[in-house]
Amino acid sequence: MTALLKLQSVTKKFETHSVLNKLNLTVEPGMVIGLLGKNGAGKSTLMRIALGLDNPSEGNATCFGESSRNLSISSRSKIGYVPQQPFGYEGFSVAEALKLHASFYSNWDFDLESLWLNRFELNRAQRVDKLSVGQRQCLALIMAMAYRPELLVLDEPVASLDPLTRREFMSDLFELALESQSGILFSSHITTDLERVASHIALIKSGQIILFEEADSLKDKIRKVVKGTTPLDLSRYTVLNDSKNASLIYGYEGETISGAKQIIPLSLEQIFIEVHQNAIA
Amino acid sequence: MPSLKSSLRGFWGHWITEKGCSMYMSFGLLSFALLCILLPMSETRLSLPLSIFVTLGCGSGFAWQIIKLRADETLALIPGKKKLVLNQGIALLTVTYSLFLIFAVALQRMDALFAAALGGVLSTWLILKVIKNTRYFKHVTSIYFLAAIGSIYYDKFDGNVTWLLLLAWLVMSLYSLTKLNNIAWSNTAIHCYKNGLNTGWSPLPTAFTLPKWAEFDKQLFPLSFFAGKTLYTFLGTVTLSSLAIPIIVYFLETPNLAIFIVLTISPIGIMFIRWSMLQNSRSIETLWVLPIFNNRQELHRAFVNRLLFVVTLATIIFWLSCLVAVAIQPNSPDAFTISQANLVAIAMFAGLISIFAISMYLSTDIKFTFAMMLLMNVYFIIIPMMISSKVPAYLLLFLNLCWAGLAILLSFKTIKRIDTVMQKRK
Repeated sequence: MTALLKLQSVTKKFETHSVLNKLNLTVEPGMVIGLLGKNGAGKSTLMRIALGLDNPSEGNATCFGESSRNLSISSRSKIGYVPQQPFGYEGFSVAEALKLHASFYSNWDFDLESLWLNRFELNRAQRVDKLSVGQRQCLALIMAMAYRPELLVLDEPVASLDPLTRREFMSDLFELALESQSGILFSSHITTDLERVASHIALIKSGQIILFEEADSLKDKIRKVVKGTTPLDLSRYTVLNDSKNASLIYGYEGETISGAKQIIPLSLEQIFIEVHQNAIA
Repeated sequence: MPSLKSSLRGFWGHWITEKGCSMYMSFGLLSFALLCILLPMSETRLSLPLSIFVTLGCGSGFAWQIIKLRADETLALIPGKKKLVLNQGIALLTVTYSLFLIFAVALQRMDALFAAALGGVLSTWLILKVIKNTRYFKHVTSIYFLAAIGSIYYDKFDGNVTWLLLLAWLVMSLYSLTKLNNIAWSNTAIHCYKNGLNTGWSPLPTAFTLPKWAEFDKQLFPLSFFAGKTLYTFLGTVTLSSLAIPIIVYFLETPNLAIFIVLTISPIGIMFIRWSMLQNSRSIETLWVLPIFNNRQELHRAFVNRLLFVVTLATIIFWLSCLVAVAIQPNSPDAFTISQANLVAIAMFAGLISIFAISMYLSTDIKFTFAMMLLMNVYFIIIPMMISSKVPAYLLLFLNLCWAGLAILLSFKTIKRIDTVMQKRK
């Protein structure tokens, strides 16, 4: 099966600062990958490089088997992207913007457009530059999804949506991936959304994907191990973070760990916090 | 081969109703409308700058679209969008320049050729710079100044200058066509776009804004509360450019250039004050909750009084500079007189107040921009006419005073809209 998106050993440096560091990631059809990371972790840069909007300093990025920097029109027609700051149709009404945008795609689904316009309660006559941040985000989502792209890349798509719209959107997103076998890569800080929708979770830290796991098994495989008086042997696990009193391990399969005072299961939000706790020197 | 209808899709939204682009396009269109009226008169003094403004209006509109394209992260992924907008822009420029070339050849008017060539060179330079870095768009107003100055000295240029400009323009245009493919998303473009929308035509980079002066700030309250540093920048710029009048008159023997500069800077300053106010739109609530004014009328009255004070101050500075210029000018047949200085000063005062009053009345940016461009063009026609008019001075003075009085009344009337205007902005 051809990967929809593939990043191989991608490094991105801004002057001396390295944002991505030999990062690898593959998106395959049907995958809904939730990208989780702190602000400035490189999520947006990763997405831009993946889509050829920015050049990697090292490594390769491919979409549908083509280099991201030189995507053919046919490949571009299969990609939907919503950036953090949607922009581009100022001066148009919602209806005019959608009409023009639809003209660039041969497979635009007008029924889906109407359905989502109603769901997001967007007024067709309203001017794009007068929309609120949330409404602008909704319009960008319609524009990115109404032609049923095979690869959808969403940079914090629900950050400005109210909880109800967010929940509905997330469920639609999941259905879309299931129905059309699209691959979806999206970033969000809202861990409950990731837990609800994502088939896979990718955790990015210091420019690398330190964790890539199916969402269902992620919580089973990660434990916080509180240290006792005897030394711990954690050699069979991947230690995601280590502090004086506890270690965060990946690869746990239900066994007892000798020397552990306590083995604590964690929610996704707790995992995120624990991963980013300052490690001991 | 795409059909004409398909090639023009989205044209209205991109080039006419988009706030930023409309600022420049409406200026070009309006200049074109005025040009059509002036052309039969064979009056090059006015038709030449207007012709250049037509070409520059389209050129800066095109440069603005490049910023907009570069601010759109999804641009590279939408098949055909970039090509559509750029082709529309190229067609627009081609039609505009072709009109000038046809006109120049048909009526043997070298000035039209000069206008197309100068406008073309300056526009293409701006486009090339914006392709490289969107921040260069901040020079847009300087380009208009340069063009206006160039048009004033047209008579002094050798005919070869026009041909040289034409050649330079041709080379630059061909070069820019090869560079249009390089237009790609830039993370700074969106800031340039937003900044451009907020500052509009402001020729003053923030580095030149003057610091606040606490005592003066109190005197200008509540206007200073809304407009902040812009007020001082406005007054500082008017003072500096007014002081240049006697110097220019002394060396060049003509006050037109210097007066033109002040009369261009001052309305832009007033528009800039309005932009600053709108940017601080939330402040009106903050001001209202403070125990300063008993009612809205009191606030409105105080506001207009301070505005009149600022405009009067700017006018007095300008007027005194004109009087000094009259006193020191070398003897020449078309000498600048005290009467002309008085007339121009009153017209400046009335023009500035009118601009502000209308800006308060017209809440939407497009209407506002359109009205401003109209008014500025009228302004540029009225004032030179006053300097060279054969109408008796006392009649002009009377008309001017009527205009000033009307403008003051209008400003008191329209200031009531301040709440609505700022509310809409939110």
